[in-house]
Amino acid sequence: MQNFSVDLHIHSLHSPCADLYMSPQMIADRCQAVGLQAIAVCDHNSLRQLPVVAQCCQQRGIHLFYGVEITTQEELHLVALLPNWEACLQMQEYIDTHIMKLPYSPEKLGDQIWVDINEQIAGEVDWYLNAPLKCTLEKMVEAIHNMGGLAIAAHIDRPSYSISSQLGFMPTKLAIDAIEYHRLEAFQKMCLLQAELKQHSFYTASDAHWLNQIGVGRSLLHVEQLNFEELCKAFHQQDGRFIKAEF
Amino acid sequence: MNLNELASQLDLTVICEHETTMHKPVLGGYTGDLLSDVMGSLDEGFVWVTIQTHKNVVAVATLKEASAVILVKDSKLEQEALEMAQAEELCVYSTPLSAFEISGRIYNLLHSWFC
Repeated sequence: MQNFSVDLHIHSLHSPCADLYMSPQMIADRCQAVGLQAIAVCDHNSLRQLPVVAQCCQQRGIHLFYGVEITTQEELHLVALLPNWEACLQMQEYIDTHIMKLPYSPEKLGDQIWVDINEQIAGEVDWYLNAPLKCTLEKMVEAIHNMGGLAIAAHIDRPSYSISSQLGFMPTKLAIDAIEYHRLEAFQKMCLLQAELKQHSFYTASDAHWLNQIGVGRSLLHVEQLNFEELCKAFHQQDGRFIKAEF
Repeated sequence: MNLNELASQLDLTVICEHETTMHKPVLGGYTGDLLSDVMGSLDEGFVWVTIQTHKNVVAVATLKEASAVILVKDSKLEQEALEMAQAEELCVYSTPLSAFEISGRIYNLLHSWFC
C-alpha cells in the first residue's frame, strides 16, 4: 500500500469564478511544484476542460480523477468524481438537460471559456455555469451513482452553497460517499451536533480558484495504486484503503 | 389569529393539515430559504414562508415548533418530506404568490389582529 498526496477539488479557468491563469498547463505545473500526485479538477456544471487537463497531467506524471461540481436545486454543491470519459459525457448531457439556463454576462459573472493545449480559446458556454439544476440533492446523488461515480458533499462547513448553509444539516439516509470539509474546526463543530457525519469518509481539498491555492487543502490517499477503483475503496474504507486530511 | 383563519383569509392551498395543530394561534412569521439562517430565526408559533421543499424543512419547522410552513410559487413538498410532515403533524400550505407578496399579506393580517 502507498500514500499519495491528493487535492480532489480544483477549478480551472472554465469556471466563471476562477482566475484566467488556471489553464490546464499552469494547473499541472503548479501541482507538480507543490508535490501533488493526484488531483481532481471540478468545474461548475461542466466537464469541457477535462480532456486537455488530462493531457497536461499525463505529461507530468500526475493522476487526474475526472470531476465536476454540481449545483443542485437546493443551491448546494456536490462534487461528483467519475470513473471514465464515457461517464463524463453522460454526466454532461444530464447536466445540460437539467440546468436552469439563466442569462449570462461574462463582464458581471466571469469568463466561461475553455482552452486547447496551446492555451488558445477553444469554446465558451453561454449560460451561467453555476446555475442550479432542476434536480434535488437526493436525485442527483442517485444519478451520480447510476453513472458509476462518487458523490461528495462539497465544503460542507462553508457558509454558502453547502449542505449546512442550504439545508441546515446533513439529511438522514443520504447516500453520500464522502464529505469534503473546508475548515477542520468548523467541521468538528458540526460533528458535535451530528455525530453520524463521522461515519462517512471525510477529507479536505483546496477548492482552488487561484494558482496559489492549489494544494493548500490536501489529503492523503492510502491505496495500492492510483485509479478510480482504489479511490472507491478508500472512500468506503475497504481492504485497508482510506483517505484523510494531510497536515 | 389561528392558523386555520390565516389559511382561509390568504386562500392557501392545503398540502397537509392536522386537527390538533390548525387551531393554534399564529404568533409571528419568518421568510427565508437558507435553513442555517432559518434555524436561528424561526420561533414557536411562527409561520415560515419558503420555496425550499426538502425534508429538512419539516425537520427544522418541527424542531422550532413552528405553526406552519407556507410554500411559495405553487411549490410542492417532495414525497419523503410530505410523509414526514404527515407523521409529525406539521401543517403545510402552498400559495401561487411570491415570498414577497405572501409575507406582506401575512404581516398585515397579524399586525391588524394584534392592534
